Amino acid sequence: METYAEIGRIFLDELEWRIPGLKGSSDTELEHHAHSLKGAASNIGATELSRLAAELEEMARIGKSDRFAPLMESIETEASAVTEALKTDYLEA
Amino acid sequence: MPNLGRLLIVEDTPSLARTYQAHLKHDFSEIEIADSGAKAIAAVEAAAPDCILLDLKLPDANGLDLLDRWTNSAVNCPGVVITANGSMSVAVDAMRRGAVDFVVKPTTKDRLRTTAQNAIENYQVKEVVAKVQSVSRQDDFCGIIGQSLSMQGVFKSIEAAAPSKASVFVTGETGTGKELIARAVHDLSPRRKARFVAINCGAIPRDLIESEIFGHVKGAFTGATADRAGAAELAEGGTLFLDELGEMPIELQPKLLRFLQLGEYQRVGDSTVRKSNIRIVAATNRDALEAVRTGRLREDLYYRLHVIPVALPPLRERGADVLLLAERFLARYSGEEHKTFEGFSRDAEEWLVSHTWPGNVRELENLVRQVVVLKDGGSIARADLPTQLSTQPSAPAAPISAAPTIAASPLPAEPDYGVEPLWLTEKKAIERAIALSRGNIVAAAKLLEINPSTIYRKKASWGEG
Repeated sequence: METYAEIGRIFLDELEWRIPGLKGSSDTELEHHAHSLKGAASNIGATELSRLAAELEEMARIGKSDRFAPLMESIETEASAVTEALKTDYLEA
Repeated sequence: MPNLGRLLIVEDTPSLARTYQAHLKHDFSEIEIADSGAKAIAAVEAAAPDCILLDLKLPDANGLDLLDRWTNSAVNCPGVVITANGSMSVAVDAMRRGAVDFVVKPTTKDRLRTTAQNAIENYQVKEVVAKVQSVSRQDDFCGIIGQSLSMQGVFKSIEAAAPSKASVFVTGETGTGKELIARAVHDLSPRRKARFVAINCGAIPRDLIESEIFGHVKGAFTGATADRAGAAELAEGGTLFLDELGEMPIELQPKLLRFLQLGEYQRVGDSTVRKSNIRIVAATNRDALEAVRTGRLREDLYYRLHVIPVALPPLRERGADVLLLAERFLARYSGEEHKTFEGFSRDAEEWLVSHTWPGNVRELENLVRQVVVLKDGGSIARADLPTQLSTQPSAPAAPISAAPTIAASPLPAEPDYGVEPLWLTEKKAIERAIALSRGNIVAAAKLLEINPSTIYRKKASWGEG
C-alpha cells in the first residue's frame, strides 16, 4: 500500500508538469508526452485518462491538429478527476 | 529469494520506473533507473548490468537504437523491452535487434518478474551452451576417457604443456590415472620417440630409489653385481615419470634437484658426472604443500617441479564419465573374455553414478572386470554390483590409508553425523541426475522434476558453467 501511495504521488507530480507540457509543444513532443501519459495513467489504473492520452498520441502522430484542443480539454478534466480520486481515496486517507 | 544481480531500468516516466522498481526489488540486488537514452548509455558503459528493462520511447533516443548500439558493442546482458499496447510490430522488431523478450504495458508484477527471471535464465543457458560448444570435445584423449568439463580442462592443459620441456606436476587421488596423464604428456611431446620411464617412489624400497633413478656401478652396494643404468639414463631424450614424489627419501632430494637444475647426476658408487636431457613429470596423491610443510618434501624441489600443475578430478566429480568409462571397460574386458554383454541396466547405472568411488577409475575398472569374469553375459544389473555403497579401493598403488589427513583433503569434509549443508545435498542430487542422463541437462531436469534452467542457474551459483 505504501508503494502504491508513493507511485500515486509520483504520478501526481508527473501530471503537474506533463499536462502543461501538452500545450504549445511540437507534434513530436506532444506525441511523446501523450505516450508517456498513456503509460503512466494505465499503470495507475486510470483507464479513461490513458485512453484519451492514446487518442491524443495517435492524432499527434498523424498530425491531426484540429483534434488537439478538444482532447487536451478532456484530458485536463479527466486528470483533475483522477487527481481528486487519488488524493481522497489513497493519499490522504 | 532469487538474486538476479543488477538491473537497469530505462524509463523516462517516473511513476512507471518506480512501479517496475517496486515489482522487481526482491529479485535484483541493485536496481538503477535511467530516465534518458544518454543516461542509459552512460550507465551501461560504467558497468554492464545483468539485465536491462528498456522503454522504447525515450525523450532523447529511440530504444531500438540503444539495442543496436549494445548488440554491436557486445554488451553482455539480456535486454527486455517494454512496449505500449498495440505496438506488437515494434516488439518484434526489438527482438530481431537483440532484445530477448518484451512486456506489454500496463504489466503486472508477476508478469514482469517472470519475464525478467526467464530472460536472465535463458541468457545464461545460451552462454553455457556457447561455452560448451566452444570446447572441442574429445572423449578419448591419448587413451584417457572423459567427457566431463573438468577432464576436458585437463586435456587442454596437457595439450598446451606437452610441446615444452617444462615439468608437469600431476595431483589426484589414487586411481585417477596420473600415469596415463604423464604418458599423454610424453606422447604429445617432441620426445615421443625416446623412452618414457616410470618410477613409483612409494613402491621401491627407500635405499634402492637412488639406484633406480641414477643407476649404479658394480660393487656399489650388496647385490650390485654389475653396472646398471638408471631411469635418468634410460629416459635420455624422453620423459621420466616420478610417481608418489612425496615418498622420495629426503636425503635423495638434493641429488634430484641438482639433476633438474643442471641435468647432471652420478650413478651410485661412481664419481663420474653424467649428463642427461630428460623431462620430468611428477605426481602425488597427497597435498604436496602439506608434504613441504611437514618437511617430507623440499620446498625448492617442489617449486622446481611444480611448473605446470594438472589436477585430476576424482571420479565422483566427473559426472557422466562414470557411465562412459564403465561402458569402455565393459567393451574391453568382454572382448578379452570372449563374452557378449548388453550393457548396464538402469538400476545398475543408478548405482554406478551414486557410488563415491574412493578408488576412482581403477576401482571402476577392477569392478567391471570382476563382473565380466563372473557373469556369462546379458545385461549387468544392480544385483551384479557390490552390495555395500562404499568399498575400499581395490588396489591402492600407494599407502594412502596410512595418511589420515582429512584436513589436507581438497574436498569439503562431511561431518560425521551425516548432515551437510543443504546446497551440497542438492548439488549432489543434481550431479547424480546429470550423470545418469549422460550430461543431458533436459533429461536430468525431467528426472528431478524441475526446469532445466534451474539446473543451469544452480550450476552458475556453484561457480560452474
